[in-house]
Amino acid sequence: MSEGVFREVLRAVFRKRRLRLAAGLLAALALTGCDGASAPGEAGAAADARPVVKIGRLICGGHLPLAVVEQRFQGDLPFRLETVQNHDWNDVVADMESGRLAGTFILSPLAMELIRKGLAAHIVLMADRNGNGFVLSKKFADIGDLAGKDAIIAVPHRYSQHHVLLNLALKQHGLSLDDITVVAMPPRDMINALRRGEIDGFVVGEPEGNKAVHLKAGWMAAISPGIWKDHMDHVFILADAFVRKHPDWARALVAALRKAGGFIEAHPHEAAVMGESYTGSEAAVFEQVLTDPPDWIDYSDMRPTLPRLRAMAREMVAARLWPSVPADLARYVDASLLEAGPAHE
Amino acid sequence: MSERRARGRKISLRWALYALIVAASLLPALVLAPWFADKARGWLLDREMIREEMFHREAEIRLSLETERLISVLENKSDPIGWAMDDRDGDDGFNLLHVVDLFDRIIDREPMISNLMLYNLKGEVLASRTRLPHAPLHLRLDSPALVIPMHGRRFLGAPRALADGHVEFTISVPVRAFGEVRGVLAAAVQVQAFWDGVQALMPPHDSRVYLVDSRGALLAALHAAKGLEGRDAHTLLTGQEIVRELVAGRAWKRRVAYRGIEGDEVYGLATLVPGLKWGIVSEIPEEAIMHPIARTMLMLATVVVLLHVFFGLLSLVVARRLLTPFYALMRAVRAISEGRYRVLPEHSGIAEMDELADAFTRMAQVIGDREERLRTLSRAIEQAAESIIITDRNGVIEYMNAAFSKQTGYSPEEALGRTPSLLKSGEQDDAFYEKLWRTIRRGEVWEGRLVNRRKDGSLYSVLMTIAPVISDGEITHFVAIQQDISKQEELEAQFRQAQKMEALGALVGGIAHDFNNSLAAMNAHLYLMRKDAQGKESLERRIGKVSTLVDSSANMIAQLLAFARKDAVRMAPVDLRALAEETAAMMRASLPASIGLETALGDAPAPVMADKTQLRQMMINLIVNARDALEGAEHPCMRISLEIFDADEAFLRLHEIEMRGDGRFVRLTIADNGCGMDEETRRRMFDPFFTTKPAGKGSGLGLAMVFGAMQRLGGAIEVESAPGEGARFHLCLPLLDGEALADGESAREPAAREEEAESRGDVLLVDDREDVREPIAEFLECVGFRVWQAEDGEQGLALFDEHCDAMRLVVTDMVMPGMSGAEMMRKIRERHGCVPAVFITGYDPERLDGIGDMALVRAIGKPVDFNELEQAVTELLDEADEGAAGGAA
Repeated sequence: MSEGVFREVLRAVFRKRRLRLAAGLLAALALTGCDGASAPGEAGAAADARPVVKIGRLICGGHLPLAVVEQRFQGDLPFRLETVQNHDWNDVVADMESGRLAGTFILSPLAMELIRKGLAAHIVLMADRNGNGFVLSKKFADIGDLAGKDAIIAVPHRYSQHHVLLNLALKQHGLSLDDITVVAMPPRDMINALRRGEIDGFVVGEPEGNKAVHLKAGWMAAISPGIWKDHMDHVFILADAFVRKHPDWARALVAALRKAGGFIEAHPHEAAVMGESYTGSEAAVFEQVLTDPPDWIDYSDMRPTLPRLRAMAREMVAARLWPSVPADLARYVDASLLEAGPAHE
Repeated sequence: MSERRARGRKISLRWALYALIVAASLLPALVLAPWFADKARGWLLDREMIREEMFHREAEIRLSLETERLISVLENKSDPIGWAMDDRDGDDGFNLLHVVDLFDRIIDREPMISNLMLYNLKGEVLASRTRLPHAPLHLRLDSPALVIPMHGRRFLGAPRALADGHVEFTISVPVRAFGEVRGVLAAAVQVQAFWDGVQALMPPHDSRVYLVDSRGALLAALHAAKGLEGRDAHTLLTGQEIVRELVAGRAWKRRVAYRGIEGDEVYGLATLVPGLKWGIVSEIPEEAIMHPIARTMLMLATVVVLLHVFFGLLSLVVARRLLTPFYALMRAVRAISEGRYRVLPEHSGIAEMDELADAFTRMAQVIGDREERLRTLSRAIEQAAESIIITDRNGVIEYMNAAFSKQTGYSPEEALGRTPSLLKSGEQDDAFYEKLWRTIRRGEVWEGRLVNRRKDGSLYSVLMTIAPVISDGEITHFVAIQQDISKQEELEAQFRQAQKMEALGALVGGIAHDFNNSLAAMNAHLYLMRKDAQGKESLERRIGKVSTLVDSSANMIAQLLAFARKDAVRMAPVDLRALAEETAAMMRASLPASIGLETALGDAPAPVMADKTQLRQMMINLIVNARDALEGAEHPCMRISLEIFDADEAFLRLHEIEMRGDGRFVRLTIADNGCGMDEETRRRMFDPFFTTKPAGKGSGLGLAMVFGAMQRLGGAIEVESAPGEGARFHLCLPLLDGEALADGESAREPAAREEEAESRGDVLLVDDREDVREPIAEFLECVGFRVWQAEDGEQGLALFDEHCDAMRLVVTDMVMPGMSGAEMMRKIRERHGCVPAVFITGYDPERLDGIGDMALVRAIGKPVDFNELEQAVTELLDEADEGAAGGAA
């Protein structure tokens, strides 16, 4: 008989006013050693009177550093970090534009498109590099087989690195985007759509791709390091208003996220366990993404640089997402917050 | 420490037993209640979980089937729509009215469909039908819902929230005509209505069920969910772990309570709907599980309380029943500790307790008997006449009895803790004590005499026995028993004195008897010679001097016989006071004028049983001794006093006097302040012929006579004297009452009788000594009898037989060779009747054996007083004559 069970019984008994006397007697005799402490989580939340800063995210492996900060490095922050899970990228965009979020992890092309269109925010950190896969239905033996098959390939968003990678992958196999139909679809729907035959494949951030393989919905036709080594994946943008108002908080947050990146590289298993609900994948599946091959997803260098940004811009132009590379691309990035924080690479 | 702790921790058996019973009645409940609760929780939870799981299975199937059915509906309708689109009738190229009519029928039949849209391949809306108040479904050209069906595939979209607050998902199918895709038929399915429709097909279910999509957003709830009001319809529930598990693609079936979607404690079950990738979450409120458990707990608590009360009361009864004999036993133990061993514990009716009580009683009796014996032993030791001390092995006194205190004068406070050396007298040397210690330390018993010193310094002799007390082979103590033998030594001295006096008495008595016989014969012959010498003056004078010498010798012999207590005394009541007064008056004349004589005799008579003559002689002897002791004294004084006292036990025991009468004695004291006596004189003063007087002045028989006489009279003589301090002689005699004195005095009137001249008959005279027989024969003949003489009893018996007719009297010696006088007389009387007889004896005539029962008998002593003989003969013959006359009459 566990004490917890009996305490539950007594709690139930205490709900009945008429039973208090009997319960009190039993409790006094049996539970003199029971503590009345509330759950640690409750106590922690109640005791934490710091202001709350909300950061957006999706169920995506690229957002894992946020999970690590939230669960492990909250103490490093002068505020309490609260992540907000959005339904899809449209929600993320809407929340950033409305100012509901101080910042968010976001697809790098989408971030660049938003800034290009005037969003008052800067890319302050790269979430990860690589970390994407190209999953095809098993009815295709190779990416090259897509030619002339009226294939539909899904990407998370039109302005996504996945779209860029799809273009590159097709190029690498002698195809172009004109040989297939690209459809934007939330990653969470891709596996089911693939299973139902609605689509023939998808390019998506991990662990969704590996999960599809795991669920035998498709096969991994290519992983992003093989398509574009060390390409920009997700980036972390902060609203200019937040940075102006709380520069120290912004620096602390960026430093904590870099620290989390180092932690993920050093402790992939623990990070995978922490990120289960962030990634929407079992820890074992995501741990495999983190470790095999080792460069599939990389959190070691989170510094956003103009060359990387420019490279992505050029590929966006190639994928017909942008007509040209903007001349003021340098303003998209603000590495000053990173310079002030400790290096963790 | 442990003893103090043991004393401090006293537990009442009654309360311990009661606590045990309480624990026994509560502990099972405390163990069983949570156990039952846990089991009940498990059972109820299992039941609820199974119920929910069954519901999930059903819902999953229904959702999948319903989705497939809707897709089928759309696909079925897409064919006629495709034909319609191909049936060109006018500019727009297809029969719009027919499609709208079809849409209406679908909308009417499928309440979950809020919008039906028909798109051409350019993404243009060809026909639409919207269920109010829903907004029209507009799809962008790059939307998967359009792109995918355009590729000839059906599309099932993910749920999404609309601006109107509804959550919908899209189903779109290609519209074909002649095998070619001509458009897209898209339907917006309102999730809540879809869910309601599924529910309508299922049995009623009242638990909390939530439908979530693959992102963890709430799609619909089976009930009006509390706590979700005001939140977006498509609100994310990924804050819940159970929802996150679903998002991760895993089902949730854990048996732990958590804070659920509606904020209360719940148990959850979550499963995924195949195909849709939606999740169904059931939350079972903990309250629903715990309520019956709480009810059971209440019942159990009630039962426990009732059982506790019952067992509590029962325990009181049982405890009382069980403990009563215990307390009885405790009382018995207490009684035993107070020395009462006969208090028996009552029988309880409990076999084991009774057995214990019986065993205890037996033990108590054994201990009691043993202690009684020990107590007796202790009392015996405490009250023993001999003093007893117990020392440790070093000789330190640890115990002493009362006799020791009495004997030594030391109290326990003074003696305990000291060694017996406090009794050392110095009479024994160190070697004596060293030998004593060596003996007892060897474990042997030492026994011997020694002289100790009392606390007051006086010495006393003891016979001491010292024995070691050995325990486990080692000497632990010594016990010394010492008997004061001072008294014994005194008694031994007295005994030796008595033996000496007895021997002297026998010697003197024997000599005096023979000498007395001689004197009797001499006296008889002198009597005859005086008769023959009548008229011869010188001869009469000489005979007179010889007679005086004979009388003096007879007097001396009488005193010797008195010492030897073989003199002839005539015991009669005598007034000692009168006699003392008379004697004092008589002796006053014979005492020198320089000697003062005081008397303190009182007025009251002091009757005693004594021979008056002898008693007077005793006083004369003492007065003469006192007179002699006063010679040379500065103020010679003599005092004669008389007092009456009650003899105590010590007095009687000291003088070995038997208690007779009322124990009153008269003490006649003759005291002087003369030279006194030293120890040696006092020790020998009663010896015959011992005298301190000059030769020729004292015979040494005076005090011997007094000593013997006092023995004869049953009295005692006490002497107090020391050199230079005079002497006090106390004659102590039993006191008679006054009436005895009066009777005695009257009896002592002598009767004068005329001497008879004529013949008075024949007399048989028997004596073995001729010198005694001849004078008596002559005397009897002188007084008128014819005398027949015989030398012994046989001859006398023969003579009497021969002359029995004339025989009137027999005079015979008592002790003779052969037949004694008494035996002879008995035989004569056997043959010839009661012939009067006079027995002549050298001993006390009143103590003659063998004639006590004879009548007409007289006894007279030797030397024979012829007057007494004549008186006796005359009286006997008178009595015989009176007897004969009486008999004749």
